[in-house]
Amino acid sequence: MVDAVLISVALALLLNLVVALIVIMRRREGDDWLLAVLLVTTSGAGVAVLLSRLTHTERMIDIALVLTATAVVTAAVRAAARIHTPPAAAAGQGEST
Amino acid sequence: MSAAVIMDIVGALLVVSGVVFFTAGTVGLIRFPDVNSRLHALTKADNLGLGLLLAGVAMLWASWLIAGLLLLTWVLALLAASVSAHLLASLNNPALKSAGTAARARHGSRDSSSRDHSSRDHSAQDHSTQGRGVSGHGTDR
Repeated sequence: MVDAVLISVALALLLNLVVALIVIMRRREGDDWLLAVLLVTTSGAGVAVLLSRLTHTERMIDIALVLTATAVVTAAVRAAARIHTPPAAAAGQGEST
Repeated sequence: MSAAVIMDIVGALLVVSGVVFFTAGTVGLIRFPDVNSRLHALTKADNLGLGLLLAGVAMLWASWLIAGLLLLTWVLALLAASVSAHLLASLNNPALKSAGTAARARHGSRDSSSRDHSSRDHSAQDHSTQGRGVSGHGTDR
């Protein structure tokens, strides 16, 4: 019973992810790539954790941890690049990207 | 009803409520008109959904070690979302964009005026060297 709930929740998460990525790809706005990174991170971590419980494999939780840690690194690198970029160039980058 | 069954039920309820918030965040991501409002949908709804989902799975595992790992996962997800949201919001700030346009215009005028000053300085140095009858550089120190 609980396994059926977990499987349906995992499928719902994957469906959410696929639909959102399709919409983001079609939209083609500059800053949506970071939104896509966040979405993949949260949805991927959720699916990994659900699979860990379904397969009774604790190692799958490490996958969720790595996904979120990678997202933190991505955000930190982007923030560091933003700090070292002059405001005028950053605003121009925001307009163009 | 045993404690294990109760924990399974509570865990399943938490997981289902987590996916409801995930779906709400995805709908917001699709429907909201601009990046700033999409940020709200993604960072708030998705992270709350992830937290509920992780809490539910922690209940199902019934292990403190795994609960700690899942808590760490959620904290990292919150960190990533908050930094990214701040970045995107600052890049999409209309005041910053208009200030950036004005700053670029000022930089452009300053560069051209500095080039004019440097060309005038060079011409002044040429006049002074011609007055003293010295040619070439490095002879006067």
